Amino acid sequence: MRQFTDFASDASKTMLSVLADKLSSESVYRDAMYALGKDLAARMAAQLVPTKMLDVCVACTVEDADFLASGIVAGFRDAGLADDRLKLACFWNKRVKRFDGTEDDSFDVAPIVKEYREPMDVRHSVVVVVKSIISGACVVKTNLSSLIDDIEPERVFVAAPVMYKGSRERLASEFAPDVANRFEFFTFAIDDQKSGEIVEPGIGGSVYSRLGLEEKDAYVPNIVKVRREALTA
Amino acid sequence: MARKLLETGVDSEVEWQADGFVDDVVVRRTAVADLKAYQLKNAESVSWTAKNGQIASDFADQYKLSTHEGFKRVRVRLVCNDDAVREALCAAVPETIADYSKALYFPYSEPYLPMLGKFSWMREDFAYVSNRENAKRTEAEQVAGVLIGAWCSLAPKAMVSDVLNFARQMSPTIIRSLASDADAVAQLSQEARDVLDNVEGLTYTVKRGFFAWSDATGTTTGVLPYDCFSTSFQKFQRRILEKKPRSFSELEEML
Repeated sequence: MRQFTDFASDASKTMLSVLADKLSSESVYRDAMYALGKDLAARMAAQLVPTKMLDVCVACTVEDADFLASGIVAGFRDAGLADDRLKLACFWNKRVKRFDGTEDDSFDVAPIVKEYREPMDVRHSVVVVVKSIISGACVVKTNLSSLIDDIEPERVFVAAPVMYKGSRERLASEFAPDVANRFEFFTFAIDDQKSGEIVEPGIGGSVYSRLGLEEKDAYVPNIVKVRREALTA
Repeated sequence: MARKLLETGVDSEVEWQADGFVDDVVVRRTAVADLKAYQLKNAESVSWTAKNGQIASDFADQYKLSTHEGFKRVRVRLVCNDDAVREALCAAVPETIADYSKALYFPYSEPYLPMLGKFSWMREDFAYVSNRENAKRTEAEQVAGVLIGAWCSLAPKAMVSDVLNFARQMSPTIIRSLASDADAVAQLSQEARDVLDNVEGLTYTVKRGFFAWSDATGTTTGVLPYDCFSTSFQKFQRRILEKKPRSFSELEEML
């Protein structure tokens, strides 16, 4: 069963339905993710203290970069955040739970095989960790840990259009209390059912296939290309 | 032990709940006739002499047994998870077993991963086994999870080299190669090297058996998910020679 949070508006509920609808086309799905990103950013921006000049570091996975995360970056810009205060980190993760040729899960890791990370001062930043859906929290935990690496950021926003029940507690339990106490969660819906590994209704199945990113290892997000080029200009 | 194998080439056989008097963990280096047997105690009070000297007696019996089995160097260890208890035990080792017995401290935690945050030496040992130079805590934790998963798959008895090799059977591989950097570098053909050296904006190294790369800005970095001895690395080189990329952006989709 799905429970909507106080952040959910009619517009975001509609976008969530678009995601859950298996008949939504790839481009409609992508647009919905982008719109949800903008909406999430508006919620997060409302929590920022205008006088405190902190950078905002958006951390995302490769599949979310051009849609959800791009929407979040755009949303922060719409809220008045200057370009030079917005930073991006994008991670290519591979989730692995078992050794080759075995049938049982022996561990649960999501190693980063490559990353794009702009120069950032994590200590004086709001770190915004973004994911299309947070369930086991393994990928979010890995990427956030890699980003902060024993440095305590000013604040940590964890943002996802949908979260699975208990994921907030699971993620917090992976960090020292000094860090976990800084987590602020932004989501529109919490689901409590799964079909195998897939949360239902969640985001309508595997985000890779819904976004048309079956070859995500080779995919280089447009937002990464554009921002990287701007760094060298 | 994985680190010792990687640093010195000395392999060990590890067994838990072995047959013996001190049997929680036994480490054998048969090639050098060396045996270490460990008894693990999580109790708040531990004594050599309690219960009619049970621990001291077990230590003596283990020493006799292992010596009889042909081990020339036998060391028996009482491991506790409280350093103050360890200190007291070290000061009170019975003379009859003092030549080969010692008390050690090793932390205990359930779950175990927070220990890597608390004990830098533990984190550094696991980081050493990572395929990444300068592996961070996250990478050390992943190595720990994978190594423990490999050990549990092979337990109750396995060579450390077998555990490491088993742990490397995943994609991506996150455990460093047992081979030398020189051997790994030799897997990169001169032709492929000539192409890569002329890719504008690319820097690369071969360390711990893996090809690590960065773009000119240093913002985009990575390590190939397979080592230099794999058929995947040979395939990677064939693609390089086929496509002959001249810029980082041309190469990037192959990384």
